[in-house]
Amino acid sequence: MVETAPHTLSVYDAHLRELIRRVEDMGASARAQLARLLAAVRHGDGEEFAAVIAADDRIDAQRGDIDREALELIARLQPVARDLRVIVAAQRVSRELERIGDHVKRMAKRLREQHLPLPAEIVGRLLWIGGQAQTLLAQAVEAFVGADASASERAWLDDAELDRMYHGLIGELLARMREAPEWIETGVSLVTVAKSLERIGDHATNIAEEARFVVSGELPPLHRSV
Amino acid sequence: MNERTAALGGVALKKPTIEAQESHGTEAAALPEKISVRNLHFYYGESLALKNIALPVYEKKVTALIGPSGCGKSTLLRVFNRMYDLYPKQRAEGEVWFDGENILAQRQDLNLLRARIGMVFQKPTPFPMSIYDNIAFGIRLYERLPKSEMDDRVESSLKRAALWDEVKDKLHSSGLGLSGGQQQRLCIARTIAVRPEVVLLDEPTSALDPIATAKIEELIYQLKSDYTIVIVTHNMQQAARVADYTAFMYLGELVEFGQTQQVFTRPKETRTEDYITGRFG
Repeated sequence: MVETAPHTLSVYDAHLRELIRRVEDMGASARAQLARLLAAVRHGDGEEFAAVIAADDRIDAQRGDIDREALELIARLQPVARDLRVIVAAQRVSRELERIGDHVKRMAKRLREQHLPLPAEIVGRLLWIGGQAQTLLAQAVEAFVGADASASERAWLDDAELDRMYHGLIGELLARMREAPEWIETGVSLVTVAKSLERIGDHATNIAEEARFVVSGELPPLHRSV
Repeated sequence: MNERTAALGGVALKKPTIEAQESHGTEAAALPEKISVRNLHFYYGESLALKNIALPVYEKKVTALIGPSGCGKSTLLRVFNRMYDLYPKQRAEGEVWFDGENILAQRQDLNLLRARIGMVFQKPTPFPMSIYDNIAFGIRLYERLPKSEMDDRVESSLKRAALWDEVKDKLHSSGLGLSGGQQQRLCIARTIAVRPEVVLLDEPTSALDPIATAKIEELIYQLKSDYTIVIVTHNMQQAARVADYTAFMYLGELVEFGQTQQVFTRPKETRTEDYITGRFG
């Protein structure tokens, strides 16, 4: 977090630091899950997809812990102003991270059902988009933990780039399905995988917006175009 | 000019207004100001206690004055009904407009002013007399009422102060026999019995338990439909709960004034943020 003057009640600072640490840990879990999924795609390792699916429970549990911690802080400390925004934002960020976890799990389920290995060109495209999503997620969590309000602008631009990459892959998948109808089942599955990667970018952008909210108090926009 | 303004013999001036943002700051509305403070300085002898205060007090709204001890919030409250006049060497300079009158003007009828702007103090201060007479005493200073009308006024005041049900069977018992919370509501009933336009509350719940505090806060919420209320409180959650507008004061200055939801979620000033989040000093 950006340094602010310490509270007179020192345990207040300890509680807020602990909450942010929990969000940081949850962010690390989500990043690790995405990295593990992309490694499994790269290596065509079907066993790893099952491990990714099983590990999603940990992210759900982390969200529960953050919710409980936030409720306790609101009840015990009666936070206002920036303190209140930090706690509210931490809860919202944990929700975004949980959804990112759900997307990773959904992708793992879809990919586990595929006949591996996938075509090298498709794998390359998925890894390319996945890499962009990883970067966005890492930067967003870092921005929130560091209360970096300026990161949201970059997140929107990076997410727009991710969207372009996604649309490129969708075009490629549609073309393959048109040329080879026997590929339609695989193609449809991969469209949902690509969509999940695109959605991870949206959730990461929302996390970066929460950093701006903590600093400025301006609520994140409902819609935005770049 | 209302009846009382006329009784003061004052010249009715156009009431100043300040554009205020109502609701969540999205809808601009010009709220009528019941009291307008302009360029107010206050001195205890040579010591400057309030520095160039400018503040609107909106009609039928609750305005909370918050700030650390010694910031001047109680001093400002005591200016609104010239309570400081009781003490030598205390003086105010500037303007405090109340319905077109500068109440700092020398010619004010202070008894009438204090009937129009009533005050309730930190410690409950019932008179050593019956519950009934605690209410009737103040009314008799300003009006001569037949007994039936006085009975009605006492009853309506106690009902308005949410105390009637608890005391209706012992109106002629001593007010000193009531609990602290009941005594404070008795003082509020006594204040509103003379039909003031503004009620000043100086830390009215600091000596009360949480249940009695909640009853007073509910009462404040109910009373604002008829009265303009200014409350000094050290309890910031109380300000957040009951006030429509909040003013943060520090070292005799008004640091920030705004809608309560704005002050407590997005204060504009760092000093306000540091104070309300407990980072002061």
